[in-house]
Amino acid sequence: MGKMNKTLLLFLGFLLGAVILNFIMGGFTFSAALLFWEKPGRFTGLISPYYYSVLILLGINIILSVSLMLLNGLTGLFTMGHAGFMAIGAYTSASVVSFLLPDAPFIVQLIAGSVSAGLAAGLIGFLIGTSCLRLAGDYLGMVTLGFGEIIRIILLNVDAVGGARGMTDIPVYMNLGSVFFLTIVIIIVIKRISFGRLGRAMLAIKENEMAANMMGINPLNIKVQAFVISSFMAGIAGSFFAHSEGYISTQTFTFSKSFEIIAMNVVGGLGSLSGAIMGAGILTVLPEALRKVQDVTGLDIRMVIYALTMVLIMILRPQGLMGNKEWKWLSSK
Amino acid sequence: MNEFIQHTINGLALGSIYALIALGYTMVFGVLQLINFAHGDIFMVGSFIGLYFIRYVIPNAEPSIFTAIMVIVAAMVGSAVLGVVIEKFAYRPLRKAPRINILITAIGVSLLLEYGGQLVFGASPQFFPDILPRKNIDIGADIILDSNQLTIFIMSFVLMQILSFLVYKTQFGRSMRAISHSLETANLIGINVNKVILITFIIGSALAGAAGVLYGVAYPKIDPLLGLLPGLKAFIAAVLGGIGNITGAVIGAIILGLSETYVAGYLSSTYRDALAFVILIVVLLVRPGGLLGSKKIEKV
Amino acid sequence: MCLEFGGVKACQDVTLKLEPGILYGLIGPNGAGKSTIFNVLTGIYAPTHGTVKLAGESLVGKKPFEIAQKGIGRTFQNIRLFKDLTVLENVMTAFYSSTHTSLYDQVFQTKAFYREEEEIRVKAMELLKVMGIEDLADVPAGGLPYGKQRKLEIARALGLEPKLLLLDEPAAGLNPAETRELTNLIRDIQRARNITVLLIEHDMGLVMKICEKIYVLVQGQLVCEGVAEVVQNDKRVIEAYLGVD
Repeated sequence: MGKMNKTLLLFLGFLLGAVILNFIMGGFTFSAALLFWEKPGRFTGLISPYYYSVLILLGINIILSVSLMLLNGLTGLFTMGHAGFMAIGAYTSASVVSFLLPDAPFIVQLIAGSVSAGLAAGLIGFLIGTSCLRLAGDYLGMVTLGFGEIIRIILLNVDAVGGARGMTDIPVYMNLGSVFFLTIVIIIVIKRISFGRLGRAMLAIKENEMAANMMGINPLNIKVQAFVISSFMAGIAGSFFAHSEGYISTQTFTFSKSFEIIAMNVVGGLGSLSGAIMGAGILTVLPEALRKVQDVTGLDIRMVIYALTMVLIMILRPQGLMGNKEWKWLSSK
Repeated sequence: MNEFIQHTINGLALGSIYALIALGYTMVFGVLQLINFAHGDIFMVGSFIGLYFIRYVIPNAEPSIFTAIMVIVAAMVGSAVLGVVIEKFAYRPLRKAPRINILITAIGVSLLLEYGGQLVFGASPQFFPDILPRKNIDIGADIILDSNQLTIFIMSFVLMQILSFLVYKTQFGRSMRAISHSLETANLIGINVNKVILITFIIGSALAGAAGVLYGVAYPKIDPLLGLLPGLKAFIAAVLGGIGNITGAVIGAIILGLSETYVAGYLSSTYRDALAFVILIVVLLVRPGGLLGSKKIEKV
Repeated sequence: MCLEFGGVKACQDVTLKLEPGILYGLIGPNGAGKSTIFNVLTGIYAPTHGTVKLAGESLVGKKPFEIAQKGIGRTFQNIRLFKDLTVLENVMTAFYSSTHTSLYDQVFQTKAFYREEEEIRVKAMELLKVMGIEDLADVPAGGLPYGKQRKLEIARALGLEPKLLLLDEPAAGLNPAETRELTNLIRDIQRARNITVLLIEHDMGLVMKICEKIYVLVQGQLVCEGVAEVVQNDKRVIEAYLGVD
């Protein structure tokens, strides 16, 4: 077969774009250092380091939001413990990189960290998924909330990763290019899944599990797949978070965080991939935009705005901003 | 042995507070099939209402039973009002919407109360003043029952008796139980569903408000994020007893309060919070109906 | 093909023996337990005693989706379509278990993926054509008029390429013209594909017209079985239906 897979070409294209993005946004010294396998150098990019970090945060939130959408909007599994998977990813990646590869080149750290994070989170996702398969609706939400909290409490008590004080001195190698590349890849993966037979089966189960059964679809099998894929991605988001902040603590990964991710889905529209992205965008940018107000008044109204947005959207436009629809480039194969 | 009795007393006090909160969860779930996430925060607001009442309305009052009752009533009234506002503006418009919408709204209201509370009350913990003369009753053999705990026992008992009367011996109670069985049928036989649901919220919130004051009495440091953990645990207690079942809520709460105290006392306090979640998961996986609940079958 | 079971809550001691390629009817007053039989056959309920066998293989204890994969397709009395999926996608779901592309194929959209998708699409379209609703292929199923929803349910069940097709009141709520059309359609499909059909219906016209053999269920007991004329003249059957249909 002489023809190369179109998708592979697509991914390579984005990779190139990511590298270029790094150069533009991060400046030459910064990116060259990354490329030539040294730790990130001095930052001389087009935008200030502050906005740079906000964009990275945006990428992370998008990954969290779309991965939750797979579970919730696509398969109909209402979970409230997504932050737990993020936590596992963050701590796993931080541990692997800090303890095993502290002096390795950035690319190695990036790959090792992300893969280990994804696998660890995916494994836990598998375990949790298989144990709560018979539950539905609110009960599933509560159980996953419980699991998320237990994960957090366990991590809180492991002194090797910092315990209550959190884990510090984590190698920081996160850069906009990597985030951009992986965010796009994950979006494409989820889009492709939702248009294939797995996506149809997931939607069938969400719409009417009994009828899906009658069509020869094994609901348990599909649900577990949803859990594993979704948690794997959340784990990766967690690793990105760890390596862009340099410091993590269990305080970040409470059920409030899980609720924030749910809010992103809700604001954008529960069944919509574009909505998940849009929701993540709004709820990441809005608090940052409000930081100005906070600086002036000294009041932290960001979370209040968060919460108010959730409530108002549910009452005034419950289908979210995008409803069920998708943007043009996301709606066909 | 003495240690055990002391732990038991402490556990029962904690359980009583959980019970007052759990009742609200279970009653609202009974009539609306809604997990009212904001309920724990109503508990928190009740606590603060009590605090501000003491501070601004009766700053010179001497600690006494009379003072205590005034504070508790104030908190109950304030919390009830809050509950009504939430039901009317956030939940009622979504009565016919898919379950997940109202659940998410509840989460949103909860967050709103927490972070709004941080804005209004200030994020740092505040000290809840004494509303009762402090007296330690030595029951002998090194077991101490302090007056605060005694207050908690008495108040909880009184409130639960009142509730029990309301639920089992009044028209309202009958209507509430009818709605728990079937909202549609209740509508059809002429029950004013909106009114009954409203009263359910009033009662549940009032109890949570009372619990807030009692909590302040027992653990004098309060802050706006107070409702998170105790609220969640009270919910778990309700699930343990059988969500929707009033007696179950009380039993579940007592069990949770006791086991938490025993775990903290005999094992380690770092894992005390984990216990509640472990119980939650075990109950939901093994017997979702809880101790007193029933199983449901889906009709094809 | 032979099925027999007994002792499930609503039913007692029912024995059905279905020969391949025949169109059977199952009638009886409401609450007789007809849907319950369907639920046992599709694995939703387990019989308390007795067996269910498909071509000699026991189905008792198997999960519903496994039984569907073995070749039993079913429609529901209260329509259970996937409302947010399009008409075509609804039928395509039936092909899930018979297709094999892996996650890798789906994500990378390999040739295998495209080939399989096309295959399913074509087959699904054909089924829509058979039922006469191919013009609605891209419409969300929830937006269809009632009569067409019922047809879609049947098309979807046919997607399983079943050996046994269970139709639960397929004509419920249809007007006489629609019922006539559906009656002929069911008979044509059954003959063309030579599948076994077991049909629950209250519309006696439909039943008597196309069913080659009829079982009558009253309060969980089989009171009569036979061809149309026999059943119509059976005393017990007439008694059971007095004042009903």
